[in-house]
Amino acid sequence: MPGNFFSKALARLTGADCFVHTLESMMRRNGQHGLIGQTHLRLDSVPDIARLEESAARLAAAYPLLNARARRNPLNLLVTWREDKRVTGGKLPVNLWAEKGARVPEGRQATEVLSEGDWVDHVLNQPLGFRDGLRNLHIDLIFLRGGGSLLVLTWTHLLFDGKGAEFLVDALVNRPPLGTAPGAAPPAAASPRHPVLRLRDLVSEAGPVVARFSELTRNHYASLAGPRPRPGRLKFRMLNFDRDSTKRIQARMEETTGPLFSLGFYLACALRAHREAFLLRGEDPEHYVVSIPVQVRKKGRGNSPFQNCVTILFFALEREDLKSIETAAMCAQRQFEEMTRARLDRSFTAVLELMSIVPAPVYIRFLAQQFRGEITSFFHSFTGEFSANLESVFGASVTNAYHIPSVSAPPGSGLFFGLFNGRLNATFSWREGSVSEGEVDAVLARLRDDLLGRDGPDIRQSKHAERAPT
Amino acid sequence: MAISDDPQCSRKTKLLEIVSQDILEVGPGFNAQSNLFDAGLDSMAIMQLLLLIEQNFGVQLPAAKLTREHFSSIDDLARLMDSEAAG
Repeated sequence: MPGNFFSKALARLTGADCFVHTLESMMRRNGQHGLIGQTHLRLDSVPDIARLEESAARLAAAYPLLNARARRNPLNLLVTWREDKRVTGGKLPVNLWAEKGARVPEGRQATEVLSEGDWVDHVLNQPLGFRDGLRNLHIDLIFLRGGGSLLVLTWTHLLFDGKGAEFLVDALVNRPPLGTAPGAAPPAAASPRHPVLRLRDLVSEAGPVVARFSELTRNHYASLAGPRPRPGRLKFRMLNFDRDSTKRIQARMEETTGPLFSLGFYLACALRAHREAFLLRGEDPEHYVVSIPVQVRKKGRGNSPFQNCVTILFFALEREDLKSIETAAMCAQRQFEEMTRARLDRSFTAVLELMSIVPAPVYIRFLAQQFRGEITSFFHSFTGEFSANLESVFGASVTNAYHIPSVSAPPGSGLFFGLFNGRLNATFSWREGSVSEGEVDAVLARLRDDLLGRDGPDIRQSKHAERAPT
Repeated sequence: MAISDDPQCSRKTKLLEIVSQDILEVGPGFNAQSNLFDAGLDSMAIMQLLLLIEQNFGVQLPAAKLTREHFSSIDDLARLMDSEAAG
């Protein structure tokens, strides 16, 4: 029988994976399909498709997790990835698409789409398994009217995080990693022992962050979606900054929080941008709480792509803190130092490990009670440099690379930053119905002004996926 | 003075150990001159490194002194710690 707990076990889900598992359960019950991410690599031409296909096939053979299913064992309550024989042969095809009017390479067939934007919008708003099998990763190549191409990886956040997706890109394009080669198996779980066997240690480690939650939940903080889960299509818009603008942004960041710590600056920008949406509604929340994922992988390449290797730091800022970028960023920086000093990163990992054996319905109810339905005012991350020194994919130069993260509702929105080759990309993702178009405009206008300064130069704003799908 | 008695040498050795075991996934050939940012050092890693330096060496590096140049390599970081110890 395919995909049940008698199938071969491949790896245990981490505590962070189990949180995503729970979030996805809530999302699927409320018409949100799941936490699906996309990674885009913009190419100046068409890559060698045969080599790309060979590489994808090699990945599928090396990484059985790409075609596995997560199942909870009712006996020990652990969730593990298991081989799923419904995915015949464990293949990983490269699907070809062409914008209307784009040139299709000779000898190749591609499905025509009206535009890249329409295709992206359509794919992001379908369950991941809606086409060619129940895969955890899809690889698509779109030939663009302008002559270039877009390589898209669509993946379930249950399988990896944004950094993991970048390591998978490394593996796909055969870049030799530093140190050991990317492993076919994920790294060993935080502990091979069942959480119940480590109960006393985990409860002790969890103490500091539990105390932090008590402080955070004393005040009401809001998200744009509100506390009740609601359906809505995923939408996004991007700001893509050129090198000169990015240098200007980084100089501004260095003046604010110094040259080494970017977290506070980008969080401050994200907070003030979200506040604009509330102001447009005639609201001005007094409190914000923002959860920021931080990598627990040791930094550097040679890491396995798999598992959500993150813990979360919870930042709390008040309306008064947001009066300027400088005050907001310094407040966030102070909290960053305090939380790292107090090892709240490790403490939250212990909480995630403890909760990993809690079935999703109970986990959801617990979160709803503890946090009054709002786990964060919005999602936010800064993933840093995208796969440093990625220059080409099988003969095609990479002109830009970024992620399109999904968000759940609540909170209904998220602001995400990443760098590629000296250029900053900012993605605002939201659920339709949680944020209006006018509020989106306000968020992006404030973001642009805060990143660049009020009189910043024009930057390209990508109106991806705003039109209704055909 | 034997190398093992040299405090600067043992500080550098300890820093190398901390970085390669607790902070970064380093490859073969990683040494005290290797660029830490190229090896993946980011905000969180720097913060964790500062705390480990405090715990292992009793040195709290002042924020005003923290520049990219000081964190470029273990050699550079060790030089900063030496000047803090001397000052």
